[in-house]
Amino acid sequence: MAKQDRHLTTEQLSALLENTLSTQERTSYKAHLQACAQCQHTLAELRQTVTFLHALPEPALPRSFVLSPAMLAEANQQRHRTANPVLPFPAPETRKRNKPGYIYNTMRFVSTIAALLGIVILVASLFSVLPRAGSSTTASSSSAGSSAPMASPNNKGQALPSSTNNATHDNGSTPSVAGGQTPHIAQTPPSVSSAHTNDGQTQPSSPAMQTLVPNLNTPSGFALLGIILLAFGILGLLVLRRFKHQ
Amino acid sequence: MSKPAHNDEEQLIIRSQRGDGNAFNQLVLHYQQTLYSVVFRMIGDPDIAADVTQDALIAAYRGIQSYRGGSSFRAWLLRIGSNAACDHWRRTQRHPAESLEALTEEEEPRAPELLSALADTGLAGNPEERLLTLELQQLIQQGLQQLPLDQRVAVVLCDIQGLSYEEVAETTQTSLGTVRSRIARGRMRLRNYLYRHKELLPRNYRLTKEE
Repeated sequence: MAKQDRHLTTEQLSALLENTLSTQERTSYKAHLQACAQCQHTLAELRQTVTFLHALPEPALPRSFVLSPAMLAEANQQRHRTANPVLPFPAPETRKRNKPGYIYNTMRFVSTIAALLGIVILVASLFSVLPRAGSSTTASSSSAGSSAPMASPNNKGQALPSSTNNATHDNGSTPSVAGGQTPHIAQTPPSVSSAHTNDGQTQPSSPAMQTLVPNLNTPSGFALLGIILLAFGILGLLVLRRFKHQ
Repeated sequence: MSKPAHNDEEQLIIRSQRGDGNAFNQLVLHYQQTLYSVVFRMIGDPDIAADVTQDALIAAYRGIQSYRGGSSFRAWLLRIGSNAACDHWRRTQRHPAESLEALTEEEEPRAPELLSALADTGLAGNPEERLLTLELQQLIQQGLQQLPLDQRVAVVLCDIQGLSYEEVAETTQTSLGTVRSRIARGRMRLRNYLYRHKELLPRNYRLTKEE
């Protein structure tokens, strides 16, 4: 028996039991079957399963389900109460209108991303608060090169005034007098740019940091952004969860 | 359905929509067996199935104004019924293993000598008309209740109730492709279940090769 690389799929086997296949499909499936004992066996068992299903007896009706006058009266009352009669027992898929599955999933995705971004930004801003003694010297050498990357953060919005100010600060602190300040400033931008590029990844602290110029003035403002995003994300997920269980 | 019958049904529906309970009950008489069968095969318990069927019919009467004449009334009604069955299933299936145990407690054969008792008595005629033993029926029912709800609905409607793929699609408000996929997976899953318990299958039921 020749070994088959692929077997017929569940759907293909099932389709063989119906008359729904094109002549071409049927011929090609049959060709495989002739050479594949496993698929022959599976198909036979599948066919038998369907035969059993066909042979199941119809359950006897335990009683008549005709609506009693009381049931009818109550139903009529409820009908008049509802302004817009809604199909009872809506299927879960239609409980929300207009292809709600997609909307639900999209919103869930967005909320999750927002929450993740929020966490990333928060963490990054926390990192920026921690003083880094060793990076002050490297900050001085790369602050000269920071003028070029200045252009890109500018486009990310509200960066113009702060970046020019920070550039001055950078230059002013090159002699590493304000050793604590430079690392702050130098460390915030990479997180901003990573957030803006939707990386979702926390970048390693030292190497990338000093090459970029800050967008936001303070780490605390940054942290606030993170908190807001995280709050939106969590809120969104909670709200969606409620819809799911309804 | 013949033309006169269809027109009759249309009339009954219109009258029901205007609040004529008797007209609706005529529809009930016509569809209750089908509806109950579907609900029973979904849930497995005759008493619960009866309650769910009654609730579904009441709900159908309450919401009958939302029925649009373009689609099949049977599909509309079966949708209400199958959704009611699914709702009930979801609400009550916290411990699926326990409910299965309850079903299988006294019915599981323990010895191979029971094979003869379970074997098909070989009634003459079409294999499709052979009677299934009670044990096998119960095994199939258990297998059905193992299926995820969407596959269960598809298999019950198509293979048990005999609806066409199109009508199943209409009932479940999905595409033909989705219906085909669910039926295929449901059948395969059921086959896997049955063959895990193959000692229960009719002994003289030969597996026929594909023609």
